[in-house]
Amino acid sequence: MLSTVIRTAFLYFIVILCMRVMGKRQVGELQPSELVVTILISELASIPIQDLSRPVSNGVIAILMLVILEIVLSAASLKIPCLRRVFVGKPAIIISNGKIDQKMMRKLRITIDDLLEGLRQDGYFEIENISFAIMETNGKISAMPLVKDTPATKSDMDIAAPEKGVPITIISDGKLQNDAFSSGEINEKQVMKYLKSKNLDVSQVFLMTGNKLKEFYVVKRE
Amino acid sequence: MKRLWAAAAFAVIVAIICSIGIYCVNSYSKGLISRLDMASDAAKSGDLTKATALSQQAEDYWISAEKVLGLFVSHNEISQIGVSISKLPSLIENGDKALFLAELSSAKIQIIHTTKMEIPIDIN
Repeated sequence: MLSTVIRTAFLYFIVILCMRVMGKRQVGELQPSELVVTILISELASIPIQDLSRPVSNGVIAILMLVILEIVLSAASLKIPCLRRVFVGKPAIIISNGKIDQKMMRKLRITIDDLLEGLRQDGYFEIENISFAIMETNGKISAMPLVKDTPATKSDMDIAAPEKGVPITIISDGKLQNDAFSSGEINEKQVMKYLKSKNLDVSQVFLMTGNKLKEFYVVKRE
Repeated sequence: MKRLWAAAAFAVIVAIICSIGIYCVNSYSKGLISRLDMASDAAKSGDLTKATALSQQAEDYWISAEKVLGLFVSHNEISQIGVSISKLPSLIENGDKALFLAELSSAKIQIIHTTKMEIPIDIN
């Protein structure tokens, strides 16, 4: 029993390490080769955990080999486009200039329901508003609406707006985040001054964010 | 680029583990087979005392080998070989030469099979 505990812990860390080395991707965004590797790794890790007669090294070697292949293949795909086409595929246009390409849909084996669902997930509920829809290599559908149906932007309206930058978390759960000031866009003095103007101190703040325009958003701790 | 270095490090680890595994399996199986062959020759020539001592040596050798081989080879395979080898000293002590030689052959075949399983040859 203790062997199972030790094996499980060991393989858990090996799998976590391997997934971290392979990179950040959400399960829904996996490319076909990444999906295969992820499924195989989970299967391979479970074999030595369940079967104590199997040496752990058998599972570890197989997992490491898959990670090596995945990394080498993805690095090679960056350099050699035809390799990427073979292992990853290429995006397919399903709707072009507002016209559904039924031949392509049959080729991709997707139904009209799949297409409508994909469009809805992308935020488009009416197919007649779509100018282009593309099935990506990870199976997701990306859509571009007709120009007349796109919302007007500030640049369309000729409105000048300064860049706000990415909001930075300054205080989280009553604790000052030290890395918040590393970009140099906000400094501690400005934060303290703002908090003082609101009659608050750091420990009373649940969340505080700020951007480079010195616009702060504060949620008080309850 | 960091990932490629990580992959290279993993490749080195895999190569080291595989090389050590193949080396250990080969050397232990050769060591055991030579001991079994000597025991077999002694039994065939009628020197049962020597055959008993050699089969006892083979058993001790296998017990020490199990600790290392368990890292690379299926424990069931190791256990099966161990069962066959452990019978040898008592079989030859009782003078059951035919059964001794049969069990010895069986052990040898299992060792060869286990060794072959670890080597990347066409049947694997």
